[in-house]
Amino acid sequence: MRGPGLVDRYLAVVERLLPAARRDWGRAMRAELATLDGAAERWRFALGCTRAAMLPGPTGRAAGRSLALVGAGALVLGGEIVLAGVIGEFTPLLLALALLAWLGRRPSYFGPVRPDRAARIARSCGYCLAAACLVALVVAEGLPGLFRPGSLRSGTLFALVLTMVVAAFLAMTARTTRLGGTAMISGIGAGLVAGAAGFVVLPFERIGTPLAHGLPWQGTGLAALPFAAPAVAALVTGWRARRSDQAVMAALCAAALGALLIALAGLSAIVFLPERVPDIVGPVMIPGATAAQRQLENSIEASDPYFGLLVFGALLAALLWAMARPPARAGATIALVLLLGVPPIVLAGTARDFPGTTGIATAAVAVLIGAMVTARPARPA
Amino acid sequence: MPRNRPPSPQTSSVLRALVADPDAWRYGYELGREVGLKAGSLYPILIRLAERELLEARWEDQSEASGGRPPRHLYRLTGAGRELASTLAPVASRTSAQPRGRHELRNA
Repeated sequence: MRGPGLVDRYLAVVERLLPAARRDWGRAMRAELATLDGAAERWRFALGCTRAAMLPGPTGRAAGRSLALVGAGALVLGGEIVLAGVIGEFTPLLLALALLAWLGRRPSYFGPVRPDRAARIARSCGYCLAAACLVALVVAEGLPGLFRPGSLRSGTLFALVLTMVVAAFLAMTARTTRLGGTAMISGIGAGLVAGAAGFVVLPFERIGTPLAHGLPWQGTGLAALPFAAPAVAALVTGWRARRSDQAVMAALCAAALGALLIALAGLSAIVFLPERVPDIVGPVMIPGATAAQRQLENSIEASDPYFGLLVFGALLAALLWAMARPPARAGATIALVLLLGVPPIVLAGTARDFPGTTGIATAAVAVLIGAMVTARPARPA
Repeated sequence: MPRNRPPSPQTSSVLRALVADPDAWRYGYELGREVGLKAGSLYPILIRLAERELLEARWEDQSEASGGRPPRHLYRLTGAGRELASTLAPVASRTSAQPRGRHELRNA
């Protein structure tokens, strides 16, 4: 009889990782492995068992929840969001996100998640994006001036954007979505590429030295990626799914995610590395200003285009949401018009603070969304 | 305290497979093949069902184990598990009753 092979030893190690109360399950997995033939099948089984071994036990789940609560408490205290005014700004956003997360698990317009890997990955990406935005927001509250604290417009803008993005991610990964798996995966993949390339080429907007400065041809090749990636996503999806609406949704998904990632990376860089922000305002514009005041003004100036991109990305996400929604009756369509129409109008109004082109683009996309939502006929899936 | 939310589609398919012959003891690998779940998905489901006392387990007898291999773990539903399985909506067809394989998803 041959001795234990590598895969048997591997599973024995996995068994030791299990808590004592679940050690029997490890023995059960090893016993099943002993009945299997074929190296590939045995490795597939053993690797699957690794994932099962990582399942937190009841004690682990309780400890995780306690840790999360302690972490949230520390974040609240450390982020200086104990101030009454700031709590007022955060509470509606957190309540809206909690409501969306709850709806995302129930049979509703936002959930439950479609039972396939693409939808689960996409939904996880959406939650990660929202969590990263929240962390950046909390940290930024400690930097007076950057998001213009006390300015309702700034807080409302961020809350609206974040709510729209999370709602779009939930709706497009719900069981009722029209967005296919191919469009979802290619859109998200292309969005990640577009976001990373865009941030490398365009850090701190127009004046700072681009991160791509040291790359061949100063990264000019990368500059095409934010535009080429959504186009490639559309082509791949159109070719594989043979449906033009899926191709358009893949491009929208890539463009929305790319814009949001560039904005998030840019704003995070400004928040976490304020000393890297270039001197945009210069010594002449604010005579007698201290270095700290100049740095703050520079941060505010540098953040404007990223806020514009944030708005643009959220509106593209809303457009994708409108396209991917299931057919609805007239009453539901009217509710959707209100739901989808109000945030873009508010955002379009807010966008007056940003460079003119962004405002025009924002308003144009808002009109497009309204038109798409109202013009779409209800038809069977 | 366990929450009373409906089981996931994967858990439902395991429950349906087990309740099809409620008195039979089933092996994990064989069960996974039947419902189209890999070990990484199947075992967490079995563990959770067992922890909620919906599934009972026992070790194979020496007489049942053959070829010098170690005895395997066998599973079947408890009374509460059968009760839960009986509340699941019946499936319309085979394709919706069982999770589809990768090749089927590609052709969908």
